[in-house]
Amino acid sequence: MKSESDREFAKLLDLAVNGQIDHVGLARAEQLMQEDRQRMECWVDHFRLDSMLSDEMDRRSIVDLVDLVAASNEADSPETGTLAAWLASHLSGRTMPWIAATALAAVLLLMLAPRFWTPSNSVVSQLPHRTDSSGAIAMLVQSTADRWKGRTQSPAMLSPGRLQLESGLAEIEIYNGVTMYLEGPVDLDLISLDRVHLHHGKIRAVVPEQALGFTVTTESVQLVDRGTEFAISAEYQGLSKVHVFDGLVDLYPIDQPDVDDDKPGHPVHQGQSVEVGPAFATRETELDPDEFPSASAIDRSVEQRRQRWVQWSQQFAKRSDLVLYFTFENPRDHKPHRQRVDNLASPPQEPSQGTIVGGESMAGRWPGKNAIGFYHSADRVRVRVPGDFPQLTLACWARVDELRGANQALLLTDTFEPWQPHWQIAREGVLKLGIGQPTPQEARAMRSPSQPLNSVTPIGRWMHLATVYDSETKSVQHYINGDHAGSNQLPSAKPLRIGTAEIGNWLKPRTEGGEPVRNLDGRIDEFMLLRSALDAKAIREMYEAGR
Amino acid sequence: MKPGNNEQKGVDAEVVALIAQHQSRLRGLLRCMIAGHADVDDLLQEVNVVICQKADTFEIGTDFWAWASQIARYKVMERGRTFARSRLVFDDSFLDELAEVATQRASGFDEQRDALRRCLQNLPPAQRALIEMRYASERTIGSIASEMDRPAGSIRQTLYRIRGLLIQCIQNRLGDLA
Repeated sequence: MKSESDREFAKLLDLAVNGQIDHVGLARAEQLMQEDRQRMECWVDHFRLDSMLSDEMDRRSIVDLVDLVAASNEADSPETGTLAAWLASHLSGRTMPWIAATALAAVLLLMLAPRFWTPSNSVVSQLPHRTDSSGAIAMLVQSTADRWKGRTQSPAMLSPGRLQLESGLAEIEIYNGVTMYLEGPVDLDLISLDRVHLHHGKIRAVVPEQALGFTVTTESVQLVDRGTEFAISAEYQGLSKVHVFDGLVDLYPIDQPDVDDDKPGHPVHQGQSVEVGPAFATRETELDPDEFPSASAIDRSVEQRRQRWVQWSQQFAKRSDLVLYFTFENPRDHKPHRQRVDNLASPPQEPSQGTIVGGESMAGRWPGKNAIGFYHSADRVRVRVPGDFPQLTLACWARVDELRGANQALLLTDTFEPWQPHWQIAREGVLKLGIGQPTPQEARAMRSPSQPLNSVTPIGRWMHLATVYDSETKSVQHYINGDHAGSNQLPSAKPLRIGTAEIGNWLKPRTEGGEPVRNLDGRIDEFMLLRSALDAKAIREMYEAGR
Repeated sequence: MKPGNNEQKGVDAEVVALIAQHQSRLRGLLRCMIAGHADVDDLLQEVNVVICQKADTFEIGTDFWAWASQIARYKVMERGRTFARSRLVFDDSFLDELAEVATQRASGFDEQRDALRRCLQNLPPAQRALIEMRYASERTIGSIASEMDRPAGSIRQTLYRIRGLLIQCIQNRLGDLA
């Protein structure tokens, strides 16, 4: 039972937490605490909880941000060497405006600020966010064997600016509805929604009615579309060639300003081809339409890639170290709720088929390739994997559509007992392998993060993810799109065990609550688990075979 | 691209990260020592500055919390000496004892925070809403009371009780883990 003085103490404590205690009350509280040490514990607990709640309820997960900063390998930069001194001077001078509500947020702002100044060290670039589409006017819809000058990966969203496709095929959709087909080498400027300048190379454009007036310029000609499908090339010495597949275009000299509907140009009609020389010297010619990039050329090329992967996949399935291999092909009579999915590993581990629960069948990497989507909280593929794994390679092709600040499952064991792996995209936007341990502290020391995904590849595109665990070397390696993307040494290592697990979701939150559901906001169209530690070369080959 | 190797951190950056990680518990510590003072945020910044200045004396890998809380303690006592005796400060010897208890009870802070998150999830909706009004929207008790058309005292008591429940819940959860 609570005594009178307990009640009095509670009241004083409450006043103090709310900042309303006076010095008489404080002296009394001190006296009451000296009488009973439990009251002192109660006092410190209430204040600590009050601080925790303030931080916790502020919606911004500041502590996670801090974890992220702490986990950043870029903390090694010379800039951060002076960070503490910088922080100290600014804090003591109080010259910074305290724009953030809490002191913690302010401290973080200060800490992060110096990094904003150095592009390579931007912490902001590591934060989860969707593909940066601000200012974009077009998107890359499809591409094959494409290599872009100055980029290691295909671009996703395209802002106005130079676009140089060195080789391969690309299909670009401008937001006004124009579809452009590019075949490398092609060098152009995306100027605006309705204007492209072609420096060199060939493009084909399909212009819908709402985009009439779409203009392509070259060194020698301005082409204004009047509702059509056309191709244009810019060649050396100012020579341009135009072919109209459908409809009509008007050609104007390059130096004629303000071309519009009132000033008829040189019309080119359906089926006609024209060459334009430097002084707007036009002449009828015969062009082979097949010389220009087209939808069918891209489709053919993509289909060839798929075929190549199919052959590779059939060989791969014969590997003796393969434990799980799902390609999610043949979604035969897909039932809405439950479906077996064949484990292609051969010989298959005894009861190791997967069961698709929910998980709609969707388009995969290529037309004709099937994927499973995990967009709904119930979607999952259940698997059971017996045995111990001193070495383990996990790999998949996934399209993650959003980094949403929650963990997203790739493969999660139902429980998180010691030496069970949790392979997921962590809420801070990295590929992460967690390993269960007897205590949370030990488990924390076992977390292995990769580089931020969106620093390597745009979110919303198909990407290849691979993680290799090796208990002999006590190491975890991550790979994103075939490139090494993280290396972690573990304090200790033992064989991993999996048991019952899920691809694309986690069973646990359903039974326990209190955790955001971890379904993957995206799709997977190939998933594999091997009982060996593949090296960088093997991962690269896997990526090349499937890209 | 550089791999994300956890072992390649600059020492200073690590200290900065540690400071940030410990803000919440530092603030809790300061508040319980200078209860009633509104300027806890200023004091916290001063403590941060001292921690930065002394960062080179801190050995990475040793107990940062023990080290930082010591600095916070000194800072509070230093401030106390500049006040007249009648101001809102505990006795020095009592402060020392209080800080000892507070430091020790915040040592498993990360686990406590994880437990708190789960406990918050399990709060009945009405209690959760009240906590959110107070902490997420930073509303004063007076403004919550007038919106809910209830006496401020009753809101305050309810909040106090919920905090007590949360502390109990955290302790239960951590006890279960052990």
